[in-house]
This record gives sequence, structure tokens and C-alpha cells, in this order.
Amino acid sequence: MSTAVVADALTKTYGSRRGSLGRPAVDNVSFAVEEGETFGIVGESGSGKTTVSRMLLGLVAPTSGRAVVGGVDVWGGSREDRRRLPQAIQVVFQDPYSSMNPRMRIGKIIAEGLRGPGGKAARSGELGRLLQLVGLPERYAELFPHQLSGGQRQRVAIARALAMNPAVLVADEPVSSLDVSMRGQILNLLASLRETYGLTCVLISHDLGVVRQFCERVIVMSAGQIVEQGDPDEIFQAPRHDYTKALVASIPHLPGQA
Amino acid sequence: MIDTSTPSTDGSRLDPATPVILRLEDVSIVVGNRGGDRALVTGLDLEIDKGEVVGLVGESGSGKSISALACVGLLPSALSVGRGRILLSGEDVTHASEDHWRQLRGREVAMVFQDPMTSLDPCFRIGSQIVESIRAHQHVSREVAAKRAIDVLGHVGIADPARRFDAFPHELSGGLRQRVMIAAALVLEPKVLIADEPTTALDVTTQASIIELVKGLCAELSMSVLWISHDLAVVSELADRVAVTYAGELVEAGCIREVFSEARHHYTRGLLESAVHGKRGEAFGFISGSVPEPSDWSAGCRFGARCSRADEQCAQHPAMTQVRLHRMVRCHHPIHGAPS
Repeated sequence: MSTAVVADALTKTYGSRRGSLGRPAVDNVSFAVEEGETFGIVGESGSGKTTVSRMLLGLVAPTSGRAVVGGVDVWGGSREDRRRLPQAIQVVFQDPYSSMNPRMRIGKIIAEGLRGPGGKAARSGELGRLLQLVGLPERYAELFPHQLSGGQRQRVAIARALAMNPAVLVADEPVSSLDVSMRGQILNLLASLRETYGLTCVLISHDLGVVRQFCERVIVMSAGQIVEQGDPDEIFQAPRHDYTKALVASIPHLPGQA
Repeated sequence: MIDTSTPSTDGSRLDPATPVILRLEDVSIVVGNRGGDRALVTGLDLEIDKGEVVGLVGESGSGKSISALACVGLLPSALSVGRGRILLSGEDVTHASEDHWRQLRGREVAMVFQDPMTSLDPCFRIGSQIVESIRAHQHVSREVAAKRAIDVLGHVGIADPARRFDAFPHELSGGLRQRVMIAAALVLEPKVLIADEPTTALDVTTQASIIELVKGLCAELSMSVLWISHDLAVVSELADRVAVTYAGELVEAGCIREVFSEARHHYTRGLLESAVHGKRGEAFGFISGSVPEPSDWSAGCRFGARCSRADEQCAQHPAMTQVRLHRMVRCHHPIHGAPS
């Protein structure tokens, strides 16, 4: 098994050219994700979990440190290298309302990444396959985002991410904006796609229950740093760091739930 | 004055002897002012006793938020109460004037919203916003009002309230802002607090502290609370009773422990299965399909299209029925709980 994602001492300090604004948003974060692994990043707002994912995606430049995804050096590589980044890593964002162009039809939203060799016919065949993959009827290609429910839109976001056939899929709070009864549908879809395609999955979530059920390994972030990492069951049953303890103790429980 | 003349409509009430603070009787909320318009909430019956915390649980489109707005007289102008009555401490406020609502809000009923940043005015110091609401109701000097505002800020667990009094909303964290909103809601000691997803925008550790705060205030001031949330686990942490809404109507109501341990309605059970997490690698629970828009509500059971138990009988709209003491369910085929 080879390594799909390497974060090496990633640090990000926001601020102007004249000086930084206090403490770093992400402070010396290192981890590695094996191919096919499901990896969770847990933390509260402001913990830096989303900034870490953005540095992996090539959306936020680290102040220092290195990110290698699917063999591509995200920030240090050549221009040629970076051109391969979309095939290395793709993302599903939290809010499927704001992550899609409201004036584009679903088909175009998904197929944007498919441009290139093959021509129109190959693209439309591929589009049908992708829609089917995420459990949407093919006629949905003609619709606009506002005509879909939140859950359906999130399926479109997944299809769009898979269009590039990426090695790594980042899901940043993929179900937080969905109704409770719909969340399981999307999580199960992600789990089955992962299984079928051997995708490497990085799941960012504040919901420890979801991470525990979905991920094989987890890092807990607080104030830009990793405070604890390892097996989710072990961490959430016997947290060692004070922050993780507070986090676990704060989770509301249904009666009869451990 | 407490109205005891009308018989109880809410079969899930625990103690008929305590006074009802907030009562909704067969309330329908419609788009527009004329009859026959599209309804967003239908036949809502709900009663909240003095000192009681009732959870109203539902997903998007269940009508829970507009029901809450109706209880504080803040329905958007396009919506109105088409049928039924809303009573605050026995007084019918269904069609109260805006002037009258201004008297009631704050003293009889107060509301806390999901996002404290949008409910606070960013241009004014938080202290002055609380002082304004005190002085709108009571003829007291600015100094007396300011002292009371600082007291109440301290009461909701804000450290160094005299200094925070002068802070602007953007200078506070989300959790502190929500505490300020609760302080502003409590300053006139309302009989009932309506909280619409008050912790949804907050981190779990902050959420836990807000839940503890509300629980404590409730016991101390014997204030009633209607806590609206999509999160069953949050509701189970603090409510005495729970009412579950789906597509604009109640589908199940009862004491919290019973409803969550022995759901009778298939929607409630599906929701619980969606909220409970299993072991690694197990499939996640869910309800197939999605919540229907009001225009797509079935004339029969509104949950029928997503229900595994639905049959031809479900083409008839089921009524809310008492299945046992303090337990109401709207289903032709309720799940049978273990005999008690």
C-alpha cells in the first residue's frame, strides 16, 4: 500500500504582507493517509481543519510545509505537476447551494471536468454513468440546481468530484446542511463509492459519531494543532487530551445511547 | 389570569393541575390572508405548562420555525394564522395588534434565534441594546436599566459583565453572543422562552454550556421553554416532553423518554435511526425519499410516500390519537411498543 496524502509540517499564518495576525491558523500539522484509507479530521470552528484541507486541495498556500497528494507536490511542484492535481484530489463542500453555479444545468456542472479527449459523445455517456453512480435519474442533467433538494444537490456535488476520477476525495462537512433523515443516504453513498473505487477519503466533520462510524483513523485538531490521533473508537472511548475529553463530554446523547 | 375553562387539547400533557402558559389550539398558518390559501402548518395543538421544557422536533419544511414566530407575533406579513387560537397565560393573542404584541414580547414571551449575529444590531454596544428593551417596557432611568442589564449578563454566565456591557457584537464569540441574546430575552422575566435552534450554529462544547444554562435558568425562574430543534439528542438533553412535526403537522407527542425509547410513529423511528450512530463500517440509518414541499403534501398521510408500512388505509388522513396516557400519535398503523 502506498501513501496517498502527505502533510508535512503544514503551517498557515493569515495576515498582511507587513505582518502576521497573531497565532497561525494551522500550526505544524503533519500526517499521512494511506491509499484507500478513510481518514477523519475532527475539530471545532476555528481549529484549522478546513484550512488543512484547502492546503491539500491547492486552494490555500501554506506559509511553510509541504503537501503531497497522489504523487503531486501541491505547492512545490512544477506547473506540469500541478496540472495533474484535479485528477489527484477532489472535494465535496458542506453547502451544495453555494458550491454550484445556479445558472448552469446539472449536466454541465458535472461535465465541466470532463472536457478534453473523447468528444461530446463520450462525455454524455460518461455523464449518464456518473448520474447513475450517485443514484440520480439521467433526465436530471437538464435541471438547474434550484430544482433539486439539498440531498440531491449533494449527490450532484459527489458526481462532479468523481468526474475527474480522483485518487483522493475530501468531504468537508458533507451532510451538515442536510436534514437528519437524509444524512445517512449521502454517507452510505460515499461509503459504497469508496468501497467500489478504492477511493481515499478525507472526511472533515465536527460530528464525532459520524467520524467514528465512517473513518479508520482520525486526527483531532484544536487551535491549529493536532492534539490527538489514532483509532476513532479508542480516542472517543478513552480520550487522553483535555480538549478531546471536553469534546467527547459535550456530545448530547439520546437516551440509551452509549 | 390563567384560563382553565377550555378543556385540554394536548393529550400529552403530564400534569393537568399546573397552569398552561402557552397554548396553541388547532392552529393553521397559511400563505396570504384569505381562506383557502396554501397552508404551511395545519391543526397544531400544543400546550406548555409553567416551568416545563417542551421540545419541538422537525426537519426543514416541518413548519416548526413559523409556528414559533406565530407564538411571538412575528409572522412575516405574507403569512397569517388562518385557523385556531394562540393563548398566552389564557389570553387569546391570535389576532393581537402590533402595539399589543410589543407589550407582550419580552414580558410574557421572548424569543432566541439561531444566529445571534443577525439578531444583534452590529452598530450598537450590547449593553445599550439590552437597556433599550428594558426602557421600552418600564419607566426606569438609564442607570437603573444599565445596572439590571449588567446583572442579567452576569446571570447568564458572562464573565466580567460590566466590561462586556460596552462590547460590540463582533467583539464576542458565537457562544458569548448567544448568551447575550438569552440575557436580552430574560431581562424582563418572560413566562415562556421560545428558542429556535439556538445552538445549531455553535460548537458542541459551547452548545453543552448553553443547554446547561437554559436548564438552570428554567429551574431557578420556573420559566417555560419551547425548544425547537432538528437535533433529537439536544432535545433529549433538556426537554420534559417532545412534539415531533412532519410536513406542517404534529405526528407524535409525549414524554421525552417514552417517545425516544418507544417511538410509535414510523417517522419518529426513522429519525431516531438516522440520528443514532453505529459501529465502524456499519451502514448509516436514513429515511428514503425527501421531505415534501407543502404543494406536494398528500391528502392522506403526509409521511405515507416514505413509509414502509403504508397501505390503502393511509390514503385517509390520520388523526392525532391518544394511544395511551400522555401519548399522542398520528398514524393508522402505529408501532406497538413493549407492554408496560
